[in-house]
Amino acid sequence: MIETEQIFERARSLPLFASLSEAELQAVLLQCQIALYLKGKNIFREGAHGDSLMVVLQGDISLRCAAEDGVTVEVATLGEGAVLGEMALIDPAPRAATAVASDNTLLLIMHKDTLDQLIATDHPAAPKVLQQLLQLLAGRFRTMEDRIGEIFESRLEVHQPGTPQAAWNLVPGE
Amino acid sequence: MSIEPVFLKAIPLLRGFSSTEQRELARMLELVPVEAGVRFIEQGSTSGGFYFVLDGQVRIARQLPSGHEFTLARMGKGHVLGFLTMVDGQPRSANVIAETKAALAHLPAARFQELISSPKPMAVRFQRLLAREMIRTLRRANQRFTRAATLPLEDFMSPEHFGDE
Repeated sequence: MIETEQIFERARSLPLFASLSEAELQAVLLQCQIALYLKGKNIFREGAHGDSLMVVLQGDISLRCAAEDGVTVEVATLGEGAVLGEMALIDPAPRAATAVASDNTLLLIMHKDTLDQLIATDHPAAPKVLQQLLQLLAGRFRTMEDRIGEIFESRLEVHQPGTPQAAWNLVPGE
Repeated sequence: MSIEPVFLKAIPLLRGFSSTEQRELARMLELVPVEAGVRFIEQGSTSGGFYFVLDGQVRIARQLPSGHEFTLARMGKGHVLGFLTMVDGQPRSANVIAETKAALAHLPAARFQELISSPKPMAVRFQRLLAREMIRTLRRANQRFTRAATLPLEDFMSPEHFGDE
């Protein structure tokens, strides 16, 4: 079984908690929960209300999506240290996939309420967690813009030469 | 030129701000009128700050290594611009060009940092509101990704509606 100290270590290594002092991290972890899912158990279903962040402390998770013909397809596997649901801490939304424990799995769970409470009480951890979250989002934003750029370039190659580029709102070297 | 606090009421991002906070923020902002066609954020640069669109329409366009440029999004009244560089200090990821005559409220970089690191409750609320704005744009783009093969690539990140949402 995982030791308490290892849970702290794992939490300390999360980007979201990276700038917290020891005392602040402890205050945050006091509000978190630990849940054990036996192998094969559903952790959450696709479409369910998602309002928590989860960290895999031990075990493995399989993320599955419903395909068009009703079968489910595994879209990702998450192992120890993986984090899911950072965005749900700020803006709850339906889960994009079903999560199933593919091994006995121990999760650290932080609810949106916990962050809300830290904010409402002016806890010094709140701006630090939010600042880290903004950094994380900025990174994802840039990755997304890069990927859109790649899609654009690849479509450009496929269609060249001669197709009407204006359809893609193309403004070469403006 | 200073900003009348009443203009900030039209900005959804600031809906969680009290009137006092909106007045305080208004004092930190500068009104920047921009003529149609003017590029006021330049990709690759780290200058400038954070902007609220008070009026008009702007286009966020990305310059690719091939020299082509394409539109990532169009933004109108009430939307915010330029947060990436303010958050991570990296160069601007795209150009922003006024498509019509536009009025912007500019929060210079130093004041953005001042606002976000202030001990006032407003700072944390602003961080959270900004994070939510970024999350919603990311989700929108993710959903559109699944249709990327057929979708016009413009408006990938644009909000569905401008203005009075």
